[in-house]
Amino acid sequence: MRNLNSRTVIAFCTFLLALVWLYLGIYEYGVWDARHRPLPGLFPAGIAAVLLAASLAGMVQSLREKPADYRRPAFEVAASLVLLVAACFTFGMLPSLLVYFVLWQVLVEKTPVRALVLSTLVVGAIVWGVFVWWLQIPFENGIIYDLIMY
Amino acid sequence: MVESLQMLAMGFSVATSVENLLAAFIGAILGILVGAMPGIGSLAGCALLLPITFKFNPVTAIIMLGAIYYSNMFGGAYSAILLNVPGDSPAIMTALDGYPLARKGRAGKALLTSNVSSFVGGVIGMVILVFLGPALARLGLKFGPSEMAALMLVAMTSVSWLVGENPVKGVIATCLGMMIATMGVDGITGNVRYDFGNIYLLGGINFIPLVIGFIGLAQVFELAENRFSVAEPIQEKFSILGGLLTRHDIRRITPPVLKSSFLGTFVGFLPGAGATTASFLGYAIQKKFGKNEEELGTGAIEGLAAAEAANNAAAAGAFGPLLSLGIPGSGTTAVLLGGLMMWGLNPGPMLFASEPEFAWGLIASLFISNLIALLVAMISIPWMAKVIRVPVGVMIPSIITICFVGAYATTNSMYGVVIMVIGGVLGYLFQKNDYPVAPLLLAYVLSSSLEINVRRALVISKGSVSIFFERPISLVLMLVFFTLILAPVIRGILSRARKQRP
Amino acid sequence: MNKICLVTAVMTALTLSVADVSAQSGGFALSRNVEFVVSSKAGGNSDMFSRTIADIITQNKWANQPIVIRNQEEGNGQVSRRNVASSKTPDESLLCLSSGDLTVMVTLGGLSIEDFRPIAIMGADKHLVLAGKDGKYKTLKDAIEAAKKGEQVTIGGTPGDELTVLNMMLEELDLVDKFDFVSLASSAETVTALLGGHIDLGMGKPAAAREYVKSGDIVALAALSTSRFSPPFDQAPTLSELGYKNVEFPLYRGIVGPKAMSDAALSYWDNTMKQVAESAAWKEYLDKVLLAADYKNAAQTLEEYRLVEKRALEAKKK
Repeated sequence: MRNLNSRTVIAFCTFLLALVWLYLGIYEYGVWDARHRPLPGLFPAGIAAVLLAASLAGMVQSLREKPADYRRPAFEVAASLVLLVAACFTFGMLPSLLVYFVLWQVLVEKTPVRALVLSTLVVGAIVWGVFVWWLQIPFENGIIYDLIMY
Repeated sequence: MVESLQMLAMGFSVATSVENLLAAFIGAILGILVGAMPGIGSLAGCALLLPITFKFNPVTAIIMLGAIYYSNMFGGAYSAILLNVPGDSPAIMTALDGYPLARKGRAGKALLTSNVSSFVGGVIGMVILVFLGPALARLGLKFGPSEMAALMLVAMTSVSWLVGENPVKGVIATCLGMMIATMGVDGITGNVRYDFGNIYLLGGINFIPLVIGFIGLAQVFELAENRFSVAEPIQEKFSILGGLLTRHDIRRITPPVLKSSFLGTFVGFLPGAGATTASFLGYAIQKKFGKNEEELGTGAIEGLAAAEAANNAAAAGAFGPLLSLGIPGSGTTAVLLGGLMMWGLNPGPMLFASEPEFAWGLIASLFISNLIALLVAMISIPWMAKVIRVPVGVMIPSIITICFVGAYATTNSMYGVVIMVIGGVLGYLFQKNDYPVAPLLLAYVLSSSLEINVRRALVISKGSVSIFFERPISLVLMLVFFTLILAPVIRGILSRARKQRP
Repeated sequence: MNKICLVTAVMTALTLSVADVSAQSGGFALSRNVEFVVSSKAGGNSDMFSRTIADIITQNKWANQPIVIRNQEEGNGQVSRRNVASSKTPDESLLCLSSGDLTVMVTLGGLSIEDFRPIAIMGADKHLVLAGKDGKYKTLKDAIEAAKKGEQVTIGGTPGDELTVLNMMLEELDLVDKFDFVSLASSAETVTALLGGHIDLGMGKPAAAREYVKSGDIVALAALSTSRFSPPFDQAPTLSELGYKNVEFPLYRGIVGPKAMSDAALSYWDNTMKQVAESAAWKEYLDKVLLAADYKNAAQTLEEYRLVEKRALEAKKK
């Protein structure tokens, strides 16, 4: 009974990647030149060839394996990560993080208010103290900020 | 030898002035803090503080920077052990055994093991530096392209020891790591590979955000999935006694610490190999050849000790080529080199002769910084270990926030964050599907060095592979390499032959 | 309700802390913080260069706004260069751009010097041909003869400006493709390789090699310049002394602003940089890092950089 599970998909993806690398390595970057010297494509193409074989083996192997089980919390985390990145681009990094930090705890974790405030202050202090004040990292301001300011 | 001791004594008198002690102390604290933050390693910490130190006098400034560099190795272990987010790349191997230990309720022991190993590694590294520094640095010079390539080959075989049970998946992970490393500018020709027309990919995939995501964010996924099955946060019996190392523990970690310290120092001396490579080799060797009571990777203090001793020893070793030859032994020492030039001190073969106060003062202060870092670290263990008791619900957004900020800091732009998120999803998929995580990262670290050196060697030899076997050092390394590869094969054949014999 | 008020308050505070605009007015004055972008990491040559300039300006109060150095190295620096070119605050944006960076920028594609307004060149690095003290060749002539005989001569250097000047030199010596170029990542690596005897010759800049030439571990065989270098490199002959035409490809260390920078701002920066170049503190810096004093103003820099770009585009086509 064939199981099209994520393991097969992963092995298939690496197979495709290997093909791309192999192709570009040989045709675009070159493998060996007339003066007996390796060219930039040699190494990647070689590795890709190995990966190609390994991916095939992996795909075969995966047919016999149990599929991995993904649970809902993982999707929640993944979705929130993507949304967070989008928010950083739009609204700026620090505000987005703050909103996320609070919202996640309120909606998903349902932490009590005292813990919420305390944790926000602590994490906020670390982020602000180390990264903003001391290291002066110029954080992303977001499209909205840029639009307003300029 | 006596002369060295005399000079060292002089150095101590310089290093123990109040100003310098204070600088070392501040540096130690900053370093631990910086080390613990994911995304900021010693390189960034030193580089960012460098301009401020221009106002100080050179000796004080370099003492502070040296302290930061050093104690960074202590700090990186903290977030690795407590959160499974390595503070910087030398701490990756620390996380492999440190975090499981913490999960088992023995965070205090893990932290103490890591600190003690770091300290001993540092001391051994520095003793070697004092007495053998110039000689070892000259030996390091003998490592040219073919020797480095051979060394990298040996290191690559040790990746295989970390693969675990499924070789196919291990190979896939390793190859993926190597392919990711080929993205970006090719060191030899200066042309770009595999950038797919994207301006950001011109620089390739940054390692640190990848690591933060691959290990750290993936960790968050795991926490989220298991949050309801972990009924309460892990209770740590938090007495001083519980966290102390028993005599038995000390006996367990002594061999790995000693071995890794020597190995790490030597790796630190090699131009181009630093604390990350050292910690990885130390760990891998311990896994393959060491006596481990528990399985490495599930919380064995031997693995933790090996990794931490190696990375601190390498940090000491990196000062060797810097002080005796003016050649930076790692990325961070390259920053320090820049600083030295700005202060008018010119590191080179004559530094010890022309500025003995400075050179020996620095070495002496490294000993002191090591000690200060150990004390500061040990004092903070009880506080740090409380972190593990924070409820999972708060941990998840906290880790995510700090990871985002740290990843941003590595590239000063959202690019790092994007890499991190992609790395996180990938890391999660890897773990779910039983693909080994360490080989990908380590292959990434080693493969660019391997490729570059092989190509350079082939230019020197006009395309002939014999160069790897003609020069003495690389010949020895190649023999080691072949032995390591063939040994299991031969063993397999022999055991099958034995089975067939009636 | 309390939660929401608290959240709003904290959020506002944080957002305000990120907003960093302080408007000023009067004359040609800078109206906000000046962002001086460096496309390589902190602690490196370009970084030190930029910080020194910023410090000199600040100490002499030649700018009424703080100058902030920002390191941004991704995409090989191309991202930061693009960001400056399209900066929304052109009068207060500066970019540290050496002729090496310019070559890389043009080779990678998508940007040109025409996207910028060059402001000044503050110094130049020229090259030397170096050898280890126990190396095979004691003079450049020895190496030339060996190569003509067909022996392998390996020479190390970085694949950017050092390779370019090497090729220029080989053309002049009629030895095109006769030296085997070993690509190394930095001058420090070249020095290491020479000391270890792994390569016969090396291309290098004075700053990287000074201590070793002083200690005798490395010998300078030739100066790729129109005149000899100052000690300890004064023993190295120029190519013209060896019977050839001089070859040089100075690595110019310059500063540029975005295309959209106003004329008023350009002449302000032009003037300011001139003052920096003439200051004693700058001369001290040049001596420390062995950079040749080679100040060029905005107009001259534009010309010079256009030449560099042209050469880079030609090399790319080959």
